[in-house]
Amino acid sequence: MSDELPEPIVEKPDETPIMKKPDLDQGDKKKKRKDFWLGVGLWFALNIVVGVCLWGVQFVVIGATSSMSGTNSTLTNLVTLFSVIIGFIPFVVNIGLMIYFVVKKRPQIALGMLAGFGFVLGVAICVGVFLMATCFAMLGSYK
Amino acid sequence: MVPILFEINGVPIYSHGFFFLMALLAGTAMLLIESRRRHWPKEEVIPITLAAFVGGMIGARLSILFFNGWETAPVVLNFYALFDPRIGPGSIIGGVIGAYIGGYIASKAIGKDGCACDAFAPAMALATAVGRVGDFLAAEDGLGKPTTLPWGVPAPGVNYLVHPAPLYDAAFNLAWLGVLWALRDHPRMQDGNLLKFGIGGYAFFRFFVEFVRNNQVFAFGLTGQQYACIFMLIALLVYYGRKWQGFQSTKTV
Repeated sequence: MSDELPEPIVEKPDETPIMKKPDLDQGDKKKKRKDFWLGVGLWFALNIVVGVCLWGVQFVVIGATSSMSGTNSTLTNLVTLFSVIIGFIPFVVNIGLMIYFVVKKRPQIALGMLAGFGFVLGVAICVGVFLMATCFAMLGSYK
Repeated sequence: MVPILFEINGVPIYSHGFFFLMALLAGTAMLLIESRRRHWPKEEVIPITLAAFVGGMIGARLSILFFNGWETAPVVLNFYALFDPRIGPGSIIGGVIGAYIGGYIASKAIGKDGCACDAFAPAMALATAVGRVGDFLAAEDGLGKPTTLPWGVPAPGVNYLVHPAPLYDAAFNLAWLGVLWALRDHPRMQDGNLLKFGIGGYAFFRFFVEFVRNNQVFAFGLTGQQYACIFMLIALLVYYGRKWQGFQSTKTV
């Protein structure tokens, strides 16, 4: 048996503590990165597919109703309402999916989707420098 | 007014779009400087800022339905129109609310305990000040109501002078930026308080400036934007009232 005591821990006063980031092993980092890019890809794929489908549905419905409606205002209102609902669906799908991935403990996928969303919005803002933007006062019942 | 700021090889650069982009860049730069100064890790800054940006853009657009009426629904509720640069981004009040909600959800999603969001307060004021210059140059919403004041400006389509309301907004936000900058290290202006104070101050100012703007009256002589300001101020009062009650009860215990 050894009589040696373990060396006491002595704090060195002039050494400032450094906040260390939690060590993520390489596998974790890889998985996070994969999830992020999966999210970016998912956002683009989802919105292209949903966009094409909704455009198709709208095209068929408006085409069918315009041939039979003439000046039927009720039908026109219904078609407008239908178009509004159809146009709103991607909001629900996008936000719903991001929340779903957060709840399912895959936040990097949600972050990737958010990054895709933000990137396209950023591009639209940059393109807006070269285009005349219409203010909503003109679109609404502005007096 | 100067809707086209300048041309590059015959390609027009529009004031509104240019200053909107400059506003976002200036706001982002200030946010980065502040978040670095506050030692806010990038693992938190990036998702919260992204969520605030996307939430702000959605909020700005959706709020138009409340401010300008159901007639705007086919455009406002169309998801893909959100990416159409030919349509204005929407209302800044809705943008602030949307950004706050987006940032809040993201901070909860990443499991953040405290709030480092005070870095957003001066950035928001600076971005609004810059963006409003573009609104003025583009004569957005006809600038303002008629005035005989010496600083009245001509507006397109009318033969009288009007209030340069976007410039009032820009001037206030520039001054407000100074106030927020001076208060940013105050012990009571931490943990989200500076941001709430910044939003509250803007809501208070905006309520009054709405009286000289051309926005649509919603009810009882007040615009939708004024109701949104009242909502924001009440929400802040309720928040601080509850906080004060909690503070008082812990003091008595």
